[in-house]
Amino acid sequence: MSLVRIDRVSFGYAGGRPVLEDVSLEIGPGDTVGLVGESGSGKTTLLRLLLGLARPDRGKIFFDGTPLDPGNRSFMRDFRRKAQIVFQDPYSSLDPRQNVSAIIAEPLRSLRIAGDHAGMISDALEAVGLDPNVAGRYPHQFSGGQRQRIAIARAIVAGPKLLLADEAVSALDLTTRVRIVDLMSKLSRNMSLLFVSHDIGVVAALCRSIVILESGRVVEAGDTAAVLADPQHPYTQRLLGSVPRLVFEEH
Amino acid sequence: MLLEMDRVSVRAGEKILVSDLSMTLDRGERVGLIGESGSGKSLTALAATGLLPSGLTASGSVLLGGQQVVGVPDQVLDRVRGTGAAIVFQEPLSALDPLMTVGMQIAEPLARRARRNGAPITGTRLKEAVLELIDDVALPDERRIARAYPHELSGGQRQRVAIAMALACEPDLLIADEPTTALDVTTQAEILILIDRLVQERQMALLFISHDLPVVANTVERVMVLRLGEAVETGTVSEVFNRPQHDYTKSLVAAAKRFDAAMEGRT
Amino acid sequence: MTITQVGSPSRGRRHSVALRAGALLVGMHVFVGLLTLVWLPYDPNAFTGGRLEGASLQHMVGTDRLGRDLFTQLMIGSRIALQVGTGAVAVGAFIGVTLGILAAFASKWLDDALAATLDILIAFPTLLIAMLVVAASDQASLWSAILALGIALSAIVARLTRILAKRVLVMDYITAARTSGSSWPKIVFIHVLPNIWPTLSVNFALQFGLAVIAEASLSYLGLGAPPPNASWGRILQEAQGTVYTAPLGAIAPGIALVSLAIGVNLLADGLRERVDDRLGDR
Repeated sequence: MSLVRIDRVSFGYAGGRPVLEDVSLEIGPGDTVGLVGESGSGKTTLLRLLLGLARPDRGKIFFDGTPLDPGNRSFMRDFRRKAQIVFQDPYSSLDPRQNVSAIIAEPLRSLRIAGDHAGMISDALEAVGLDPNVAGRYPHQFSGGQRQRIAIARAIVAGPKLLLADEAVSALDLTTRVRIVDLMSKLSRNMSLLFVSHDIGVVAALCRSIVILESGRVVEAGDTAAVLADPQHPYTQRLLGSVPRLVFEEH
Repeated sequence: MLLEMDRVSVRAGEKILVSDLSMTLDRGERVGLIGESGSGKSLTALAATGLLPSGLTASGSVLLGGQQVVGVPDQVLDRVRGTGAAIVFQEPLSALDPLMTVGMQIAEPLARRARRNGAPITGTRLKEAVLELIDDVALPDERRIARAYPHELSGGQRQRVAIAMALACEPDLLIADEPTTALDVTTQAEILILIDRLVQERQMALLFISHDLPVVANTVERVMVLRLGEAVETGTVSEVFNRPQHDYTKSLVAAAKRFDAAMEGRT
Repeated sequence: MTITQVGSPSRGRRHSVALRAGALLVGMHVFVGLLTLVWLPYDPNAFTGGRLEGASLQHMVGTDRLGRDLFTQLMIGSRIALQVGTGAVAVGAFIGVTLGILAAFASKWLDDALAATLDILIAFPTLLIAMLVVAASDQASLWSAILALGIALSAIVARLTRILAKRVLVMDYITAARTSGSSWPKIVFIHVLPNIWPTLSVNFALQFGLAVIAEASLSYLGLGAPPPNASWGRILQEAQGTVYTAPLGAIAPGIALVSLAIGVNLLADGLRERVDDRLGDR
C-alpha cells in the first residue's frame, strides 16, 4: 500500500484560475519523488494540501490508507508525527529567539512524544552532521547550510515516515547544496521523500521518480532517468532544454 | 582598455570584503565573476562603477573608460555612469519605480543620454525611441508594455525592462549582477539569449556576475573565481572549468558537474 | 568617498549615551518617587511658610499660594506621574496586545473591521478619549485616570501588535510549528510574542512618556487625580494665576514634567537602537 495517495485533487481560490487541477500522485514507502515545477505551477499549494494546512476543493488525499482530514484531531496528531517538512529559506524557518534545542524539541513537545528528549535531540543533530554541543546556540550563530541542517534535524526528530522538502536546497550555495543533497539522500533510506524543486539537476541527483507540474496539472511522471532521457511532453522538453549545462569544446 | 581594476580592495571599517583584486576588460569582451555568498562578487561590480553604499570604502585604482573611479566625487562620476557602464540587478522589481509606468522609466535615461550626446529628443520622438527599445528587448505589444506599471508585468518581463533601461544609456560595458537568479529556468534561458544577442549587436563588453557555473559557462569567454573577497583563479571558461587549479574551484566544478551528470543519467 | 563605519563601536557609544542619559533622568524620578513613600521634607498639606515665597534654603523652590512647600509637592508629583505612566501602559499593553493578536489571527472581514475601528480610534487625540472615559466614570480619581489613559493608548498598541504579529505569522517557522502540531495559543506565546516583544517594548517606553504628559493635561483640566494628590498638572494649574508674581511655581513643575518625558524618550531611543543592532546581526 502506498504511504501517500493523492487522488484527483483540485484546488482554487474564489474567482481565480484553478491552482491545481485533477492532480494524482502516489508515494510508496521508501520512495524518493521529485516534484518539478516553475512559479505558478501549484507545487507549493500541493504541499500545503499534503500537510493538511488547506483542504482540496475536489478529490482526496490518503495517508497510510486513511483520508487526510484536518478536523480529525487524533489522526492529525499521528499524521504530524509521521509527515514533516523542510522549507526553502533557512533564515525564516527557524525562530530567531529560540535556541537550537528548543527549535528541534518543538515537535516532541507539541505532539507530547514521550522519552528522553535531550537524547533524541542530540541523535537528530548527529544524524544531520552537527555537533550535539551546539544545542544551546541561537540560529544567527550559524551559516545558511548549518541552519538548513537544524531545520532538517527538527523534521526528523520525531521519526517521520514522510519527509517533505520545499525547495530545500535552492537558497544554498553550490558547495553547500551538494552536502545537503547528500544528507537528504542518506536520510531517504529510512523514510519516503517528496522533494519539491524547480531545479531538475538536484531532483535528478536525489529522486528515483519525477513528476512534472505545469500550471496546476501533472504533464509527465515516471522514473527520473527515463523521463530525463526521453521526455514526452513538450513542456518537459522545453524545461530540460532550458537548463544550462557545463559544456566544453572537448565534448 | 575599457575597464582596468588594479589592486582594488573594499573595506567596511576594519573588515576587508574584497582584497587586492585586479582585472581588465576590453571592448566587446565578456568576463564572468563567479562566487558564492560572501565572495564579494557584487561589491566588485559596485566598486567598478563607484556605486559602493556609504559605509564601504574602496582603495586601489579603477579606470572606467579612462576615468578614475576610486576616490572621485559623485558629481564627476555621474558623467561616467550610464555612458561608461550600466548595471542590471538580480531583483528587477526593486530596480524599478513602482509608481512610474515602464515607458516613463525607460524614457528618463534615454532623454538623458540624448542630451549628453548633444542631440536632445522630446515628445513623439522620445516616445518612438522608447517603443523601439521595448521592441529591442523582445517584449511583445510595445504600446501596452510602455503604459504598464512594473507590478503588472511578470518577473521575466520586468527584467527585460531593466535591460532596456540599461541599454537606453548606450553603455560600453553592461554589468549583469545575477540577472536570472530570481527567474524560472525557462525564463532564464530566454533572458540569457537576449543578453547574448544585445551584447553582440551593440558591441558592448559584458561583466556577468553569478553563482551558477553552467550559466556563466554559457555566457562568457573568461572567468574569475572569487572566494571570500579574493580572486582564487582566472582564465578562459574551458581552462577553468576543464582544468581547475585551485581546490575551491575544483569543488565548485565537481558540484556543478554532479548535477549535470545526474541529468544525463550518469550518476 | 567618505569614511563612515557600519555597526562600529562609535555607533555603539552613541546609543549608550542616549540610553544612559535616559536611564539617569528616569532613575532620578523613580528614586524620588520611591523616596516619597518613606520620607518627605514637609507635610504636603501643611502651611509651612509664607505664601508664594521664592526659593530659599528651607523651601528649595519656594511655596505655593497657600504657603505649602512646592518641592514636597513636586516629589509627590514624580510618584504620581510614574504610577499613572506605568499603570496606563500596563492597561494599554494588556488590552492592546490582546486585541492586536486577536485581529492578526481573525478572519479577513473581522480583521478588516478591527483595523478600521482602531484607525478611527487613533484619529482621536489620546487626551480626548481619556477625557471621555473620565467623564463616563462617577468621579475623577487616580485609578480613573490610569484606566482612561490605558484605554486611550490601547488602540495604538493594538494596531502595532497586529502589524508586527502578521509579519511574524507569515514566517516559515510558524508553518513549521503548525506542522509540528503546536496549537495556536502555543504559537502565540512561544513564537509570536517573543519575536514582537523588542519592538513593542520600545513602543511602551514611548507610550509611557505620552501617558505622563496626558496625565498632566488631565490634571490641569481638573480631570486627573483629585487633591491631595499633587500632580504636576494640578500644580501648574494652581500656579497659573500667579505666574507673573511667582514664576517658579509654574516653571518647576514644567521642568519636572519635561525632564521625565525627555528621559523616557531617550530611554526608548536607546532601546530601539539596541533592538535594531540585534536585528542587524541576523
